[in-house]
Amino acid sequence: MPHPVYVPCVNINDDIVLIVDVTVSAGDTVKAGDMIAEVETDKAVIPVEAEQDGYVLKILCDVEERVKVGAVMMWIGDSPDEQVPEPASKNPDEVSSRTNSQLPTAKARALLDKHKLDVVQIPHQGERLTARDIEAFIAGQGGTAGGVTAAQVDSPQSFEEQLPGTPGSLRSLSAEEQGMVSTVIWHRDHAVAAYLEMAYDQQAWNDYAAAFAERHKFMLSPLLPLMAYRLVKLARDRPGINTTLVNGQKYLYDQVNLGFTVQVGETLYLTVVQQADAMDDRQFIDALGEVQRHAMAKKLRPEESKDATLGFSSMARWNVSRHVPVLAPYTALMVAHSAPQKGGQSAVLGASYDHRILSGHDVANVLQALTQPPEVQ
Amino acid sequence: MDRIPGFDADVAGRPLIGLEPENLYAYGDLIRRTEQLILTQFGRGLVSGTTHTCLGQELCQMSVVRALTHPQDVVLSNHRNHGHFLSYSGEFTGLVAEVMGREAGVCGGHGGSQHLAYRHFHSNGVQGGMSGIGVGLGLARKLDDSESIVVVILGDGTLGQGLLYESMNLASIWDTPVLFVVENNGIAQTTDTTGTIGGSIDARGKAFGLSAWHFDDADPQLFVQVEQAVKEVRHNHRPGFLVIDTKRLGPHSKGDDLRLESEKQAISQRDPLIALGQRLPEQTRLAIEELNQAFIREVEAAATASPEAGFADPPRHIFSGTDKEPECPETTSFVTGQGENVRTHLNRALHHLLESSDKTIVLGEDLHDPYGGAFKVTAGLSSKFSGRVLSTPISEAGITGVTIGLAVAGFRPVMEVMFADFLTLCMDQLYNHAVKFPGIFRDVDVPLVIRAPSGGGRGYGPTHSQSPENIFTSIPGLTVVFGSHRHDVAGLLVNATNEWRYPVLFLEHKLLYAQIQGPGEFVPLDTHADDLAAHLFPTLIKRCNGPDVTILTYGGMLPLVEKVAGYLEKEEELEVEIVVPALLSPLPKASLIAHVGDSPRLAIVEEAHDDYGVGAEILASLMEAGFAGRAVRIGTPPVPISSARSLESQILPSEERIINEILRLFE
Amino acid sequence: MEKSEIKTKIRGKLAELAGEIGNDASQIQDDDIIPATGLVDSAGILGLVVWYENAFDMSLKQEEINIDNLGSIESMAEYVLKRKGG
Repeated sequence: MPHPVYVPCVNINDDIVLIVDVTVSAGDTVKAGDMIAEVETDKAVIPVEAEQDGYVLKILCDVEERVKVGAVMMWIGDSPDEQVPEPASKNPDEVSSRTNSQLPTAKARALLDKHKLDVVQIPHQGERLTARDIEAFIAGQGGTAGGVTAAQVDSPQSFEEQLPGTPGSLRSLSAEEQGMVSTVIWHRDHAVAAYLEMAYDQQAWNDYAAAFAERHKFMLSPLLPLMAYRLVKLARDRPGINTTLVNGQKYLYDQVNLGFTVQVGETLYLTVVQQADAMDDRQFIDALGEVQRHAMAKKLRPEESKDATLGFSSMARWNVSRHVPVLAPYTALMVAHSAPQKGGQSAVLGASYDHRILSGHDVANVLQALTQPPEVQ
Repeated sequence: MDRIPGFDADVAGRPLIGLEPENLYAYGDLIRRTEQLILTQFGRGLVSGTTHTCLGQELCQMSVVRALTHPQDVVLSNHRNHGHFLSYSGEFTGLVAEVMGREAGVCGGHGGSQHLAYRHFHSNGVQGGMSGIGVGLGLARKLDDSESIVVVILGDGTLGQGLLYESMNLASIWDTPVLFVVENNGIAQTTDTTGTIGGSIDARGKAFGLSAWHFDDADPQLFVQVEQAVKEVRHNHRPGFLVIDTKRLGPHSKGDDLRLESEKQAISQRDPLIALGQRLPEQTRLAIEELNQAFIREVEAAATASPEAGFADPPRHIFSGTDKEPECPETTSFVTGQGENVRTHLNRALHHLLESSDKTIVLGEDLHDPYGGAFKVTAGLSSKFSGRVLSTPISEAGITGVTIGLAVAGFRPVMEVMFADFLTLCMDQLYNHAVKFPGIFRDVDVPLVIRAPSGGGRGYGPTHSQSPENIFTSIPGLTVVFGSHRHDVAGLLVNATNEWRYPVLFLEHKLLYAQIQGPGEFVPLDTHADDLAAHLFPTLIKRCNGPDVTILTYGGMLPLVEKVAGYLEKEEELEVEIVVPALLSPLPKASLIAHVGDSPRLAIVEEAHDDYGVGAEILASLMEAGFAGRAVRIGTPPVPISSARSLESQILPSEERIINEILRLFE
Repeated sequence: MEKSEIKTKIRGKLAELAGEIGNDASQIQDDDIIPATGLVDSAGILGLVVWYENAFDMSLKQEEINIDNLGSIESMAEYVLKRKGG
């Protein structure tokens, strides 16, 4: 049977000793009285001797390791191939996992409390509700969440919001713009999501993308990247759609960070190409490809999934005829591309937008422009 | 001294009382008249508190003190101290004014009748309480090769006090020039001591190997005999035990004399002072008495004219200006070893302290090599610094007294108590003595350090595992330092010893001795200028990004708390900040308030019993300053700490319990 | 690694990706241009490329991802050998 060799207690008040040397290896034979290791306390180095003849089965300590007195440092067996018992108890140095693993994390509970949210409101992926789930939920709600009383509804400026990290400048809303805020707002700090869509013939886009693909010998159809890039160009020319609302003022972004949804397994990412407006079409396609590959490989860098100023989403792959995308936080517009109906080229472009700062007219204009590839116009 | 009719001062400014009978009578009569004046003032309601007169014992009290001739000789007296004090100082007005609570009091009204401090004269109201201090002062004189001696004056009632025997033993084994004087008046307050003293009084001295004498204050040869005994102690550099039979003429204090009239009459008839006066020519005696009466009237007038004592600013603590820049001195240059454990750092600090000053004394039980102390912190010291590293008897109270005596005499003693549990044996010495000197007498420094291994986690059981800091932080004026492996422990110890002139209890956790010392991610917290000594004993902090919870802990709980924080960060997504004071008292309140005051949640983790604990004090301070977050104290419940490790781990704060308590702050 | 072995692996992955959108890729030839077969969509091709990088432990630059290098099972296998051998 296997016999444990314990870390010796050299001095009553030393709980921990240093392994200075282990002079045997697993598989060695030893005789009772053979030195098999040396341990050191502050006072002395003392040898550890085998207590019986046998075979070294397994060594559980390393040279230079500090080990607790009374721990098993190795096993010696009567025969060379005995099974060493599994450790009876857990490592006392390891904090055991708690029994409350079904509860939200403490951070999540603090956030629920802070935002006056109820746990049942928030969807979550993992076993426990996490802070990230709540932040995502709040972001999906347009910035911050709940805890709003009726008195606050009429005063959208009563709540101090942070300026976005992306460079930009603040300007006051015009009277008309302010009017739209007042007309549509039902909540002081949520975007007012509205949706509209437009049917179009996708043939021109398909031809354009095919020609582009052939020219560049692309593996992948560049149709969606090209459409997204067209949106970037439109936003550069119409800064009014590349915007958000902060503390009752319009925040105009100085750059276009294009958010592009990517589904990887169960997870939907909004991947982001930063400063897309500074790129030409090829550069943009390469950059987006790069970001998408990172997403697929689950190696997204932080800057590749945050600070979108404008969004583009496609569900063509699943043949849905229509989808209403959720606006990313601090954006006012996300374009939704759906597949052409079976057997034809008639497709639909839709858009979710923040009605506080964009009107249906603004958005319809953008979609109209998007229905045609650049050269055709 | 006052201008006393017929008496000059010696070189040390003390009254010269010659052996001539008229001299002895004159001074004895002055003492008696002073006591009578004090009783008169008492009857008039002019005395502050109580008083104990030496009526009937004047000659006994004079006999020892007048025989002290060396300027550095020490008198440690007790509650019945007026005769000793007047014989030592000649400050009649100062005494009467002191007892009356007046500004002109020799201690400014701080001490009153029982607590007098004047040059090398100290008295205190705890019976026998200064005997260990006397041995310390004697040891200091021996180490300084001084010819001066220490006299510890007791009553026979004090023979019931255990500390006295520790002190006599210590004086004997170290050959310190200490004369223990028993003024044997046969009564302890109201109790006849024949019913309280077993065996022989004289045999007590002899049993400890002390030179022993027994005299009677009614013997005309008393003064010569006592002078001889004092000389022997001085010249033999050996302790002595002197018993003087005497009789108390008056009550213990006032109105508490239960003795029979017949007994009191017999005492009056024995009165050795009257007898001495009667041996003088009547003319001489009357002339002396007339002069004395006039002098005492002057004393009364001067004392009465003095205004009541008052504070310009009532003190809030005992610490006065340290005349030092409030910045942490460079102390760690001698500790070079990276990756060394706490024990080694403390050992290096002790080496450094002993090496850098002859005034450093290290003492405690079993410190000698090759044993080197129960936890090996003093390893190598006794071999290298012979005579300044003292392995002591098992006399915790006695050696605490010795430590106080050494500190008062200008040494820098560092004492070890083998287990912090035993600190309760030192309690009177700390509570009634060590902190009282600087607290009352601002010019007396007591720069002592008592080190003690604290805490559980080793299965040592109920009396070897406790964390008593909550008891000691409540002693007014005791500085309590409890470092961790993240602190520069060597620097803390050197600062406690060299940079802070007040008594320090320096706690060390047993489980930290083997921990590698190093700051890790901890940095010192900014020190608020209002926090006394905070620059010497910094608080550490491990910062985070906007804490969800702040864990405030100290000492041996830190490794546990670091693990807990790791868990909370990983599993509960919390931002956890850890704040670790080293100074538990005086608490660095302002620094803690400034930093922790607006944390949303605070958990205070202490290994001590948390009822009436350090955490309670910290939390109360924060609450008073407006702390509005949630808070929890996590400590040891008020039960004994079991020996079996499996039981012990369920009693002391565990990782599991700390985590659960902290998570409850999020419910 | 043998070329045939590489091709078997690629073929297997391709079948898996095609299967995800309900297509059968068992008849695909080594020289067939993968995007042109319509058996996998853009997302599938992207998945294939990411898998390819990972499976053969090489990191591709964006400009390497073109028909010439990765257009067919044959060229993908050759490209592995070229990268590894070169």
